[in-house]
Amino acid sequence: MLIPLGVLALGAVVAGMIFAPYFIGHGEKEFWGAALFRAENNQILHAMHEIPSWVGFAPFLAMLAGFVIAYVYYIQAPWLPEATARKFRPLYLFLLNKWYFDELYDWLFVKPAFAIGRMFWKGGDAGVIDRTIDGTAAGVGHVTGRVVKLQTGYMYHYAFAMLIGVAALLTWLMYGGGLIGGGPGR
Amino acid sequence: MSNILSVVTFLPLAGALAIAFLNADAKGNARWIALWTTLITFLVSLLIWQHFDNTNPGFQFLEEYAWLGPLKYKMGVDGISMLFVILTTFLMPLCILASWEAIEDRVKEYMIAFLVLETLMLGVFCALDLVLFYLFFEGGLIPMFLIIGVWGGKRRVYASFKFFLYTLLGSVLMLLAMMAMYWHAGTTDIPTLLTTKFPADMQWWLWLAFFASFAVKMPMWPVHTWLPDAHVEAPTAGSVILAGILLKMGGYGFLRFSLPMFPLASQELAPLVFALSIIAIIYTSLVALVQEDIKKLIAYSSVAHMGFVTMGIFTASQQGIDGAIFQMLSHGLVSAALFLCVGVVYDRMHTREISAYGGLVERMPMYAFAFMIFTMANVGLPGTSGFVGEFLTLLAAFKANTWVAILATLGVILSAAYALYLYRRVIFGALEKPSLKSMQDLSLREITILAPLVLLTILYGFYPAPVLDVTAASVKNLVSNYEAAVKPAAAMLAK
Repeated sequence: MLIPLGVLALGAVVAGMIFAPYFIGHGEKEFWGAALFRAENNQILHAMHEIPSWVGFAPFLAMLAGFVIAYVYYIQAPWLPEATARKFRPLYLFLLNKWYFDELYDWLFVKPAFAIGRMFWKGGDAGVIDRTIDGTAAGVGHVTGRVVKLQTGYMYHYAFAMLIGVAALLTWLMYGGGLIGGGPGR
Repeated sequence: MSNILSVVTFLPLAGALAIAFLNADAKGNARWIALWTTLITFLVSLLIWQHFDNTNPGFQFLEEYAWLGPLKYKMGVDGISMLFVILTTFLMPLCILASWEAIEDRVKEYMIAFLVLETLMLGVFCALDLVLFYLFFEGGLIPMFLIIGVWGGKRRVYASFKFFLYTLLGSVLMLLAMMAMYWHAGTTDIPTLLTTKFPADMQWWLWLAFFASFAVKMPMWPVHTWLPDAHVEAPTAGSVILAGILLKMGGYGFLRFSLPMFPLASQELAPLVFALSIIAIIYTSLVALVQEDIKKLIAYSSVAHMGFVTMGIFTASQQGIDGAIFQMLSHGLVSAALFLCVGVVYDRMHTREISAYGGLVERMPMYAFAFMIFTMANVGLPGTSGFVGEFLTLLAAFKANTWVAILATLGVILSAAYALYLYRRVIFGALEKPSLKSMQDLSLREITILAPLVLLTILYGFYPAPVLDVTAASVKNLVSNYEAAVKPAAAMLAK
């Protein structure tokens, strides 16, 4: 484990020194070739040299500052991190929970997706679709259950039903024009 | 090679007859005869595939005999139906193997039901006569009804009746449409009907009647609710056939009848299909997310995946239809495999509750691996067969209607959510439940079942050409005929 780490550490320190000229220095044109296109009036590589020199040192200084703070916090005064966290508790919690992005997504996407899914399942599939279909099936059973009761087996019931039918048919023929068209009035 | 389609179609029936003559307690013999019958049928179907001419867009291996007056016994396959025949014969031996130990009651009758079902399913894909097609299409309901109703779970009677009545209701309208087609064209010969031009207003009604049948079979939202119930109650092999083959009959019907025979109506009603497909994709994916039963979750995910199929078909473009066929074949492998995976743990634990599992990877590493491959394929990850079909249908939809494509991609995200969520709850987490601690990993029989599915899922993910080559010529023919039929109508409207 130590050897690969050593190689990587060495690279991390010196790779920039060796390869900088090829990437962003004078060797840049040959290195990138046609892979990077630069417009005629794009002067960014030239403008790079005109910034104040402290800008170039800024990352290094930031690193130094981080180095010092880390040394103080974790080696010289290990009680400091806890005290800071206590003092700036809201900020600490905010950062500890990654800006509450997971909670935000949970509230924004996950919970609604589950709620809608449950609504479609219990409300849509089971509530509307299945109830309509099962209800139709039950309705058929219900209606036939009643129709069946008409079949009593008594001759006079059937005869009476027939008589009603004949009466209805005659009424229709006489007043409504019936099957042939053109009632008595026409 | 003449009559080879009849041979492959009726071989399983011969096997069923042989089993029928066995003693009722000859369980082992019934199993072995069923296995050998399905294996031989598979080999014969491979022979057909080998002799299939990819460059010929028309029907091949034609057979034609007089049957009932104007009706003929006519069989043939083209690029669209060829691979469904292979898919059917391929899944059957796996189903028999999956039932080997799970079915102990009425083994003889069970095997007969499956073999009869195979004959009827193969008939659907080979029939070239309307009435013959209808016969096979509807006949398949009976063995499936029995498989769910006799060997199913607790609510099997409710589920089997729901399945039967739902699908029958749609099909009766299709039968009426077939009669109307006969009186108009004077024949029930499918190749002749493919070149018949039905008047525009008639197409509309015929299209709707066929749609009623195929949409239920597919199933499309909102007539999908029979599927989760049927899947949950069916025995493992029944679910495999239901998801793997029976659902594909709807898509096949759209490709064989709706699109080529009623192109004007298809064009006019495509927005309806798109809308229902999008609803199916998003709605059922969200419902899948909250399921507590593994089989129900996979059933809902099937409905969502079939949404991509209907969307692809009605773009009426080469990519869309190629993608739809590929998606159906891929789903035939993947959903079948997922149901087999559920069967593996169900056989050990006798529950399908997701919450009853957890941490299986510790006891069943091989199972976890196979399940992971199929989960990834179900999500449509590149490198699995699930990706190819979804990508092609989305590509075609993007051109046909960008909004449809955008909304459909939502389904891809949701499929990742519900599939990975299921996988996490079943496979990962702490192995706490005492009953799970003695779980055994896959047996040799189970490896034999799942290994070919793993291989094909990955093979067709990286190299889909063998499938797409078979379908290309016939689909191209279909699309150019469709465009030729639609163009004059569009020109007339423009005037």
